[in-house]
Amino acid sequence: MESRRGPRRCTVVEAVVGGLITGTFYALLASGFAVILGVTRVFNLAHGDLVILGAYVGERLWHLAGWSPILVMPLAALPPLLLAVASRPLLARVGEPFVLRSVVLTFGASLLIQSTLQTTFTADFRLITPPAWDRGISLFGVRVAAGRLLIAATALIVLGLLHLLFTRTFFGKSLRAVSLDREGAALAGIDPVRVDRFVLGLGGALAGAVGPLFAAIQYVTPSAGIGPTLTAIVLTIFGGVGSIGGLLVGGLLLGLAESVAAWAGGALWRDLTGLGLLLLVLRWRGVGLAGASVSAIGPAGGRAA
Amino acid sequence: MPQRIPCGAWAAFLVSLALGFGPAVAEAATITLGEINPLTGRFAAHGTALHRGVLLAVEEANASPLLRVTLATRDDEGRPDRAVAAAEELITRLRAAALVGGYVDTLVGPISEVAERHKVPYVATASLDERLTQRGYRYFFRISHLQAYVDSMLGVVRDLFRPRRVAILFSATPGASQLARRQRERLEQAAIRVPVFEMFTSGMSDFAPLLARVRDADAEVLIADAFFADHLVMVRQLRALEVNLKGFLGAFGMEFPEVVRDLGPSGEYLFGTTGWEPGIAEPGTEEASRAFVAQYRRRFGGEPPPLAMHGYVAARAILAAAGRAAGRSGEVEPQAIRQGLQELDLLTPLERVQFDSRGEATHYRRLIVQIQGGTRIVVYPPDRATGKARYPMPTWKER
Repeated sequence: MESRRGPRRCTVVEAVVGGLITGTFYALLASGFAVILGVTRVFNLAHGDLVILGAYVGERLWHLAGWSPILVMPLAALPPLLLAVASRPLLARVGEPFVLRSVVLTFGASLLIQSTLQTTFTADFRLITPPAWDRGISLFGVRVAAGRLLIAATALIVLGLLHLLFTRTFFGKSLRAVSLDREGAALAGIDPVRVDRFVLGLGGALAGAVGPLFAAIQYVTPSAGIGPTLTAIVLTIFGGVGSIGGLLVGGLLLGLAESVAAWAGGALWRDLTGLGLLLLVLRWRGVGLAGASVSAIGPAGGRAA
Repeated sequence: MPQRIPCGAWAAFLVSLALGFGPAVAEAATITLGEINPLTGRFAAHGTALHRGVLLAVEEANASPLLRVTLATRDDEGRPDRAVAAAEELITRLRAAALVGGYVDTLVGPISEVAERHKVPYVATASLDERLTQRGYRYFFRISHLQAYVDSMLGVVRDLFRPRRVAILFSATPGASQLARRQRERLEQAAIRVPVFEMFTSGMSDFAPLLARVRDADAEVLIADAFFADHLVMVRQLRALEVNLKGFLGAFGMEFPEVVRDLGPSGEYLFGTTGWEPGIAEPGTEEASRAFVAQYRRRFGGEPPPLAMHGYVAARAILAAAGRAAGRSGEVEPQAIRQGLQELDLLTPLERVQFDSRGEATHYRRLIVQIQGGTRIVVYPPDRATGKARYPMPTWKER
């Protein structure tokens, strides 16, 4: 019989690699929230519920058709995209203080989505479990689940594309312009309403697309959206509003800190470390890791109207 | 030629009706049963299963002519404040004569306080916290308890596994934490080392750092005092990281059908606990168990989850106690139900229901099952075993 001890004794490296993989996923998980907040100033408390909606769509497609969680991402993105775009007329009616009122509106949307999910999919736990994703592979001499590695790679690709969209395309520059000065952008010929609609759709689609990946590593219930929403809020504050680069760096640091803390001190240190790190960054920078100066999208100014 | 009834006889009949001396017709006693369960929120799956069991028990009771049961169900959303509000409403506004339901002790505890204050009996469907039956409450009863988990899990570890080192990972809930502490005490008394003893927040997505500690501590057996969804995530990562244990023993929810369905071959050889599930019932109740399964399938479709039986048994206990008091009055009073519960001796597929003076179920037991060939086999205790335990588990590469 093979030794039960197996390959081992590089547990710090394991914790670091595991943390980086988790952190990359965190960044993708938060990207939809950060993009919407950065441009439209909508503080979307229903973000996690859109992730869960995408997760249910992905789980059903995986279950019925056997499609890989990565292949179902575009289809899982569709319902949240439509929902987010459809919310724009409602958001346009929201008065000042806009951010606070958007919290109330999206909280209501969150409850509505949860209730609809429970009616449609029941309260049963759902999980996407492609057998190949549970296999372990070696990376830098440590064992990593193949599925988690695929998720991290997918997250990096999507975040890279987002970064290119915001920094290298004319449309991306118009998004930044709207976020910095809505009226000025309008005078320059940019249609803020169109930008809002696009950004809400993009944020919704990102949330939905993450869903199948979320369901591949964590079980899903109709009320499971609170976790992704909190992660997105923490990470957006952590990384700085609206910056994809800041989001990624923040995600990596958060994942790393949580993983090493859990390995060294136990699981309860995981959450404490994440929140402690957030407080430290805010104390140190005030505006998150990326800060205003390197924000790709812009920290303030815009609002859906 | 039709026989004529004399006018005097008609008059006597009408007078007797007016005076209430009509033909003897047995009137069913009535009871309003209040149910509180988490039907939405993060415990919705568990609460729904409990609710369905309660519903079946009520429908069964209403099919008999002795008792008319009105079930008033409230959703606590998995929130203690909602559970308290629901209990107050059921008792004060709807005049519920007894309460049933409750999943996890953070919800059961607050409900029991309201019930005690109003002197209304409450039978908890899923509760473990030892402190709840140490308060001297007279109206709190429950059909499960922690000691059953301690006895069965430690029994199988001590008698069958006989390891030198055991790791315990436990969920940050009152019941799971107490269970883990009791297990550690008993293991150490048996000279078995516990090098890893870690609490975690239920719903964690990455157990890798904890599993690395389990592996590095050379633990032979991992006891996971966690809920079934955590088991799924944990076992998948055990496989990916190739953490080779001799045994994996899960406390809660390993009997859920989803464990076999979602884990597939990775679920083979895992050990868990069960009180009841289709095919595993208290001796002498096999027929009743099959009838329950058939009724559940007809009513809701699919296989009944074990918690459905918990709901059914708790409600049946109350209704049986109410039935004992039914002859005494039209509307069954809470006091009579409490008395009935205290004197109850009811054989059900989950357990023989009897309560001690603290409201603790005296005959509740947990069995140890192992997944073998995609089905669960009872392997411990010996008097209930239907198969032999396969221990140690093969390594992941050997599978």
